Amino acid sequence: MRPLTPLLSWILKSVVHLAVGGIALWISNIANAGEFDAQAQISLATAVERGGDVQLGEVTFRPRIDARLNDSMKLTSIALARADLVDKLEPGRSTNASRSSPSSRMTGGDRLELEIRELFLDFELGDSQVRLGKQQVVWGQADGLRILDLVNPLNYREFVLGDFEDRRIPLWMLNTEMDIGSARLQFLWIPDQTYDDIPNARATYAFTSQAFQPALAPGEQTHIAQRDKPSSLLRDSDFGLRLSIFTGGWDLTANYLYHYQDQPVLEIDRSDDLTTITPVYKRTHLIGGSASTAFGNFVLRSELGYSTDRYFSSTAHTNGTRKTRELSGVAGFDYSGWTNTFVSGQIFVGTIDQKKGIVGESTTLNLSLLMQQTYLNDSVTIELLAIHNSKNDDGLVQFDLGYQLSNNLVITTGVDVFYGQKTHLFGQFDHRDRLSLMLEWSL
Amino acid sequence: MEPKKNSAGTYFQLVVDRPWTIIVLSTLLFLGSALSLPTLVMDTRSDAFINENDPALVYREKVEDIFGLADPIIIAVVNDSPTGIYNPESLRLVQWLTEEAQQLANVDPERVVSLATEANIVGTDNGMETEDFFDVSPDSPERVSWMKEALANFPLYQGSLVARDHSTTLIVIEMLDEFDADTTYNEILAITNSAPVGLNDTVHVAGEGAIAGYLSAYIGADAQKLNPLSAVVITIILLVAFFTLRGALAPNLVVLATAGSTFGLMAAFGVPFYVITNGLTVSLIGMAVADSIHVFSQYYIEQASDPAATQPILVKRAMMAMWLPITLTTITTAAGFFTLHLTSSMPPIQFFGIFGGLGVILAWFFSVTFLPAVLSLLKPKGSRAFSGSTTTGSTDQASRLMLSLGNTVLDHPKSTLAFYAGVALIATIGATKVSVDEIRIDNFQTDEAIYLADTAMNKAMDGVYHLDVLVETEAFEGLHQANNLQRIDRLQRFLETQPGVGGTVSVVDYIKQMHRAVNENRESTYSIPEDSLLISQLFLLYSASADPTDFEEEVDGEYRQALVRAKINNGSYKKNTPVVQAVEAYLRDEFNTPDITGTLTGRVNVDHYWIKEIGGSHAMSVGIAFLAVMLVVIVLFRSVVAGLITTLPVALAILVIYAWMGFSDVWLGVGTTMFASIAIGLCVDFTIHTVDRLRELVNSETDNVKESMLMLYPSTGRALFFNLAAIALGFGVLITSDVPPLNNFGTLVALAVVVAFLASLTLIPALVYLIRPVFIFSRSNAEHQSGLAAASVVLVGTLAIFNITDAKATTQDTPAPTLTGSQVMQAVNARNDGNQITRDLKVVLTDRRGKTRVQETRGYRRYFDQEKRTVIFYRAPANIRDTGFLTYDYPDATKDDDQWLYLPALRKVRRISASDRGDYFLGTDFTYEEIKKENKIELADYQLTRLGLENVDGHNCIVIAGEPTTPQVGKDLGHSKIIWRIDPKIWMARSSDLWDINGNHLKTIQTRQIEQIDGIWTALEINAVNHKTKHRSTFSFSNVDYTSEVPEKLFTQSRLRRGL
Repeated sequence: MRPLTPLLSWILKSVVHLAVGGIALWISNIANAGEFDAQAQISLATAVERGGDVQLGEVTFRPRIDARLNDSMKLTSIALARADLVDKLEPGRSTNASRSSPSSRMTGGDRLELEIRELFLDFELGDSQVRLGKQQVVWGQADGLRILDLVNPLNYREFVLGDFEDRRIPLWMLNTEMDIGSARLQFLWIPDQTYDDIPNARATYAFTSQAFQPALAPGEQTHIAQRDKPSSLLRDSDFGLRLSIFTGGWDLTANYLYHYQDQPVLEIDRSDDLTTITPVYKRTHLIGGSASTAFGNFVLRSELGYSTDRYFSSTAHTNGTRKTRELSGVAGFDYSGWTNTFVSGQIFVGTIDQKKGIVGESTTLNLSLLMQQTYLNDSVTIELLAIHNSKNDDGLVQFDLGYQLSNNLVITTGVDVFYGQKTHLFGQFDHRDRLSLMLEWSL
Repeated sequence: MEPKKNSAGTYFQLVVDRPWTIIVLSTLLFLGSALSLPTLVMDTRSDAFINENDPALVYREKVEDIFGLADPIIIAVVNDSPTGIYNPESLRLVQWLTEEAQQLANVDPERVVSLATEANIVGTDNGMETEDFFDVSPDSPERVSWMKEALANFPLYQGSLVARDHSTTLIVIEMLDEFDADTTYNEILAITNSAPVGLNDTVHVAGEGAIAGYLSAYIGADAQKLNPLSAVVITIILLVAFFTLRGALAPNLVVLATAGSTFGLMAAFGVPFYVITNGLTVSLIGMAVADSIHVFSQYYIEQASDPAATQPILVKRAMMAMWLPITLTTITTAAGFFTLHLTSSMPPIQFFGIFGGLGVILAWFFSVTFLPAVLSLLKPKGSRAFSGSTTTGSTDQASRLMLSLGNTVLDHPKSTLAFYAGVALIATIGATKVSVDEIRIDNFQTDEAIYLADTAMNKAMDGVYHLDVLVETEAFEGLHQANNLQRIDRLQRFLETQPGVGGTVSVVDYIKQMHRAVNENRESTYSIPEDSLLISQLFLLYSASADPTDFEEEVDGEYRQALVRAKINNGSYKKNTPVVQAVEAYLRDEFNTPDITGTLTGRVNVDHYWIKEIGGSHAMSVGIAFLAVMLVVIVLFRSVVAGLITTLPVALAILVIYAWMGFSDVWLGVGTTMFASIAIGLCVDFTIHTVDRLRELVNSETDNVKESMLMLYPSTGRALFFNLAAIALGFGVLITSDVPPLNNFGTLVALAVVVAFLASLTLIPALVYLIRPVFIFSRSNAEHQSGLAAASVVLVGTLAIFNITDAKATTQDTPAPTLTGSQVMQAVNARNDGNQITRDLKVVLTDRRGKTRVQETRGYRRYFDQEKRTVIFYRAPANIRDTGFLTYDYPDATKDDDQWLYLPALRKVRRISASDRGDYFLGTDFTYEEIKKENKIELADYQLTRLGLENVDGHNCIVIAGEPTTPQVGKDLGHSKIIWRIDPKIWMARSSDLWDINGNHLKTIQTRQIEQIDGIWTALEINAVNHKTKHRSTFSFSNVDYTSEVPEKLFTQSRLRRGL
């Protein structure tokens, strides 16, 4: 299928958006049983790097419409307009290279982008609950570290900074849930071929760590080919199943996801004089589960994931990549025994079975600590999050202070500090420590 | 040579590489902790020192509830002229003061007692009548004479209301809220200052309420003086030690961060600022600076020995050399403080221990983060004090002084030991003279007006301190029985024979007065009638002619219980102990029968019981602190001998302090009981630094032991000298305090550290020189390092075990529940609240400045058999929209509830611990438990007592008091007591009051609009006001529907995720 031009695509989506909203309103009025609710958030955000460079200066407008059509049908839509006056996170016009046409963003010059973030209809079909449309689905129990939470891809314009809610790229999908005895089964069909937004080489958070680089010899002349992106609506769809149950005080899930990895594998072709690098998306089966329970002041959260086909850059293989299996697990403890204080620690371990020639670490050990403290009836929140990779001795420390100035106005300031060697995941942004400030106004 | 690469090396490299990151993070920690500082509250009540579960206190509160008593503020009007107060001017003054006091906001007009409120009992032709003393204004000499004669014939008032020598009369004022004592005290002072005082009149203000009220302001003023003085003293010492601005200022920043964070955390944990907390400020200042002194000393030594080195290298070298000793001393000092928490039963001292220990740890934290980070940003600069010094130390005056001390000691080691043996002997003799005592008025200087007032009142009157006996009879109107009254009369006579007891008051005095009144005022009939019927008639007669509530302070409405009050003219534990013991023996052997019993209570009795604990807990506190530090040292140096040698100077220092107390009559009381644990923690710092350094010196310079040991003096000796100066003078500042117990505390600690310092640098080297212990003369660095880790583990383990033991001991004090209160709450729990409900809820949150936040939710609840499931969805404002809360509340109280919270920002359902039930629900003033229980309670959590009836908004309500069954439950729920006012028509609380775990009035919940919907009583508006934060939450319910089907699938995580 030939992709539509971005402008046409945007116009079409806007029309669909408005039409669905209008129809919803109309039906709602006719039925006289529905509810219609419109809200919006405007936020101003800026961030300054350690050296004094301004990294971000953006205004975002996020309108939301909720229309209840009848007792069992509801339409939700959330749009986003963002103007980043500094244009360093995604320099130049925002690209839709990793996105499917229906999920692409519309851009107005280098600094403005518009997007339908979410647009979905909730309804019941027999005993099943269905959510159809563009949406986010979150799996797993871990915070900040992803093992099962792989349904939606991410935007890395601010690397791992910012809320997951904003970083996750919603996908068009069918999401149904039904009860099977005391358990609940979720089925996902995701025909949307959208993958991670990786910032370009000029971006503030461009990936420079060796783990993201192709396995090349020094001085090797290269040519980067167009990415090989899946495009068949049916054949390239992702599918997911989750069975969840609450029993004996435990929340348990078993998960299965057949999906494309959201980051491309860099395949090397040395058959010509010029080495060609092709970003290729590869499929894998993810099998895993999660468990959590509370005892006393503690909550235990854990999840385990096993991927059958993970690909890494490799110096030992002619096509520059190596297929391997990956097993990852995370265990976290939350403690809430102190008034207005929440403390959470996590340990994340990942390992692959093929190590030869792999660029980067074959096993990963990450530790994270989150401390939250609220004051003045939750109007002031202090949060400290530290993530440390103990293999590479790099990591990230984030401190946020939020104050709800009034019913509708929240001001947040934070410090993000990276540390470690430049060749490692967090250490590559060692020089990007920043101080940020955000004002968020709800209408 | 660069320090060896290890974890500490990596860490300090990070500090000097990224100083700004460290500075910002440590500053944020400080600011985060200090954020709560404005919410710090003062609690100067003497009851604050008593564990709220103490049986003596609980009993006294019960008695106070029965008779409506409270610690009063007392105004004394004194007239030194021959007529005394019996002149029109003085009497009008009494009337004026009484009327003014009755108009004060925190004063119950009915609970002001003076000549202007009391009545004379006189006989008439018809029997008896009462006539107010001020029925006719005392303007004429005749009326004054009448009053004088009437009072002379009214023994009850002699010594209690008017002095026997006519010089003084009292106005006794009880407050509604004792926490507002300082405001009321100041208002009363203002009244007395503007009073129309006659020529020979003087007015004094005293009493327990006044003491609590004034102490708060007194301590505040004292703190304002002490803290800057302490900072100035420390700065001067630092200037003298280093001759540099940085050396003087940087440690002050550490002090500021330490004190700010510690008190901020205190406020955040809701711990009030008690009388003794003032001592903590100064202690923190003295201790926080000690680590900095050692770091700076080492820095200047490094700088002098390698002037070409860059600043980061110098800082790293200094930190690498000093981190271990300052970490060790932090552990030992913190151990000293923490043992206070474990061993004291008094909350202020327990918190002093916890936050003192925390402060020491915070000081260490800022000294290894903020201090080196700041230092590494500065340019390298030497100190004149260290110019010409080598790696082994400075050569200035202080160093030379220390070196000559070293020479003397090592030339005469045996004489040194003999000297200390002599000191120990004399000190042991002195220590045997120490006694336990506490006199609350001695918290003030003797020239303070309140002290003078207390002295004057106790001299002129029978006494302002009370020892009470609660007399209880089995039978209804048992106190109408002549034999019971005679028994009380004999008890009063016995009490009056006790030393310090000026007089007694009970209902018997009224009966005698009435008996005489109905017998033409014949002196011979001032007795208890033998006929019980006549006694009943006298009470009836009185109630016919006067206010029947006149006796409410002496007898209860059913005439079953009476209060016998002995007035004592001093508040000394030591003096009153024999009295308490004698009265207890009398009650047991002479008074109690199956029909009538007497139980001792009152402030003097309460004080007796908790102060009695001081002696025992003090010995245990000292013993445990001593063992804890000895254990750390033994593990650290892997040598029992090391433990003994290192703790010997500490033991000596403590012994000398006891001797000082014994010889100078300083008693072991509230202020002084803490000194030993703290002194142990501080003193051992000196000995650890000394021993640690000796091990290094002797090991590296084994050829000539004396030469090697002498090198201790110009380096560590010099640093210890300034460490001593900082701590001793820092604590010494307390000597200028206006609060005498703090005076003593400061003197004792300063003296202890001086002795420990001297003994460290003389006794230890002399001993080491003579006995050549193996742990000094042979060791390896690796052992040393691993020893530290082991020591920390042992210490933390030990403290944890004690904490567990402590918690168990507290749990055993729980009193049993009463049935009636329990039945009422069972009925509340059984109230029909519908099998299911759907409703909208609007939450309005208002802070103390009137700023409001509005939240809108929809909630559902449904019972599944006995299991209750509730779900709440947030709909507005946008920033919390879609937040959801789901709970499964199980009928089995032993089974934890299951709770989940959906956070839209995470798009995740988060399991939350059911133990969070005392936490506030999403910024409201209601806890998770209150939200979940909806006006009902978990019966197993409380022991319930029915207190009586009360009218709330025109509805007669049953008043139920609930106290958590165990301290842990109280802690979980976040309160120590609840009073519910239950409307029995609807079995719902119309209002309730809650007290926090420290006993402070926490919040009031009022149910405003209760309507019947679908036949079910439903609260449509509920308000909660937090009295501490002044924050309020209003919950308004609408669209309440009990009939529509609430589907089961609403109560699932899936639905929580999907939203409404």
